[in-house]
Amino acid sequence: MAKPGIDLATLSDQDVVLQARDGRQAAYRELVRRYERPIFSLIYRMVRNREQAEDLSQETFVKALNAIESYRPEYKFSSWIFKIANNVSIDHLRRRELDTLSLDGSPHALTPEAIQASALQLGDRQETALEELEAKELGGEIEQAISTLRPEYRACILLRHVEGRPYEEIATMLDLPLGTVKTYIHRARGELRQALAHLRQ
Amino acid sequence: MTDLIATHLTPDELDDWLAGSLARNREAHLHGCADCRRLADADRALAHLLGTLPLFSPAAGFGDRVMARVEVRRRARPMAVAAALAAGLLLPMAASVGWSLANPDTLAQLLQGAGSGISGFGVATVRSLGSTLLAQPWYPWVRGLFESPARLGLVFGATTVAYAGGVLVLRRLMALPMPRVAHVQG
Repeated sequence: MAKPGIDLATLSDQDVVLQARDGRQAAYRELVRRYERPIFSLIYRMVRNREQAEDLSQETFVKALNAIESYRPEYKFSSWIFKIANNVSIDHLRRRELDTLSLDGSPHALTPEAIQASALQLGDRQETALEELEAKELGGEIEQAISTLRPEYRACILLRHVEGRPYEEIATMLDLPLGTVKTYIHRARGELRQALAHLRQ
Repeated sequence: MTDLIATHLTPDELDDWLAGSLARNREAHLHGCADCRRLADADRALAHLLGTLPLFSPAAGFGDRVMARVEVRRRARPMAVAAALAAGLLLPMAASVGWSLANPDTLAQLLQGAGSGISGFGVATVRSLGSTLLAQPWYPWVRGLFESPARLGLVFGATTVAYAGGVLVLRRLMALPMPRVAHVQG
């Protein structure tokens, strides 16, 4: 519970973190309220699956808030939580890449029945309401173009142009050299320009 | 200067242009170069498009689901810790001083008894240790080492070298490669 008279919504992130460290549950909730949409949006655009994005966003907040004592106030709280979100997303994408089944069936399937059972069935699937929502939300040309970028480029371009973060902050968040961040963003812009060229014409 | 005006804009300069901080001579190039102009306009349109992308919301109750997995801990306040420590030290001291002031005679008797007991025990211990030392078979040999300044110097030097060697070995052992501290991981 917040101290009487303190309006958490008016405090800076750093001050809200101090309140959270004092054990005020309302301060934790305030941090979730401030960042749930930006964090969820970043992760959703990274993994392009609502359900997974929800899980990964939760994981991000749980990790950050349970380690609130290790947050160093000389850095921006937003950089810290975006860094965690990016790490969570990239880890997930790597795992997903490893888990992806071949269209011809699982490489571990030994019998023809097992191969058929594990093969992805194309054409007979029903689109769920969630998938419909995803198709609507991420179906725009720009969203499609972003999805074709490499995950590293995607993270950089989203942080730069959607979140409006400066290059230096992105480099800190992603543990990358500044030059690499600039290169990734320039290449991502080039690929997006190409993908969206028909819109300009 | 002419070369600079003739050179196409670099990606960094395109960034500068988007931020409104492109150098004047490079602006001149941009105005005169159709290729750079096209690229800059495309970048500006793209930045605008990306900047207008909407934020998505997670499903309702997201905050509750997060909070159900978060352990809210109350940090021990430094002032409270200091006060508890001070109270723990000062209260027994104050009680002791108070008792001493109220019972000076008893305190004097206790101190006298304890003092004589301790000193008697100390003298007996030193005597016992001394006689044990003198009775050792190696005592005359060790004593011989301290009889001339040259031998004394030799003993001192050897001891110093052995000590320094020991310190160096210990430091070497303690300076084993440390594992890298991981960053806050996602």
